[in-house]
Amino acid sequence: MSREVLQGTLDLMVLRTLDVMGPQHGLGLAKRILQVSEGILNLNQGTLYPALLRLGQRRWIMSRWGLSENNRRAKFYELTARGRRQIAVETERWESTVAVMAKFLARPTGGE
Amino acid sequence: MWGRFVDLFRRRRLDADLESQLAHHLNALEAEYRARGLAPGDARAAARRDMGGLSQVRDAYRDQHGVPVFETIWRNSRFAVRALRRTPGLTATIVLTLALGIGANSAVFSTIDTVLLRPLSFPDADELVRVIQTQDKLLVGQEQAEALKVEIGSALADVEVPDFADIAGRDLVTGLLRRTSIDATTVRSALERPLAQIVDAVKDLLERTPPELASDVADRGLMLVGGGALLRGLDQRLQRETGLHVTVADDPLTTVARGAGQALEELATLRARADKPDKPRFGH
Repeated sequence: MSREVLQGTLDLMVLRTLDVMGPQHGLGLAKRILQVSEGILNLNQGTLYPALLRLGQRRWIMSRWGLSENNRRAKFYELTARGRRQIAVETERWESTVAVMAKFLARPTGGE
Repeated sequence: MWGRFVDLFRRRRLDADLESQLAHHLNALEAEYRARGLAPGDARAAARRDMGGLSQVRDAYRDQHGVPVFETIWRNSRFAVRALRRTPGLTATIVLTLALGIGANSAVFSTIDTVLLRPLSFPDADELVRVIQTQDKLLVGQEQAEALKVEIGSALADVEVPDFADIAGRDLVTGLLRRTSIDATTVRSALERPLAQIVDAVKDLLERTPPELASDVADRGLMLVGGGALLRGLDQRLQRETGLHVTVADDPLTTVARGAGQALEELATLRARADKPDKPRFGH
């Protein structure tokens, strides 16, 4: 997949990852997203930070400073209640997009 | 949007936050590459490649935490201040002009507001019609009430007026024509409310009169013009309430029209006076 991750797609990935894994710092999120996408997604890890800021402004996530596993000060992000609700909304939207695209891309099976 | 607005006021901290997060992220990636056996320089390069262009990230981050409209306004006003500072003479002139303009306008408007815009009630006969209607159950015409006012109306209790006057109207109970006599006290109390408003308006205007004008007014006093000035005792009442000398113009009903005509004939004189605003006067 290209380096340009669709906006909104990245948002949903971040929200969902926080939902599954609990509070994470930026590095952890990047690693997890790359791991889940099995290397297909070649993400510029830096682009994660503007996305995190955006999600924070929408009050979907919040952040606090903490200590990382190697005892470094790191900013941990976690899901808010609003963010949890937003996952449902975004998931539904994504599924309908996929469904529409699937219809367009389906090979005609004769008839019509 | 609110979140972005709030972030506008902590941009410095946000920038510092981003830098420390990026550094942490880069160092961790670099450490990983070195653990896998890369040379220090190569590990650093690989970490940077994974992160992508850092200046792009910073730009995107800043775009996100500013509110574009405010940013633009802020940038424009800073530019304007710099440009103005370069030409202090021009700036002083502009500021002075604006200050004078605003000052003059607010002075003019506060006067106009009192004199023209504030709806000033006229001691008219409406109130009298209402009073007779409720007190005597008699519906009288506007003209009859006006005549009654002229006959026995006054602005003060100690003015000599006839005690009673007759008025005809339709009885509200029987529906028949009926005559009744109204006493002067009833008429005066009916006129009291509009009169009080007029007195208030005059006092209000006097309070706002600039000192140069005020001395003029103190010297010459007030002159009443217009039909309302015919009300008996209005001049004495105003004189008592304001402490100024109050006179009624000769033939007050036509004063305004005659004054306007005279002003048209002597436009040149008026214009010369208007061009010299250092000695403002009221033209009576």
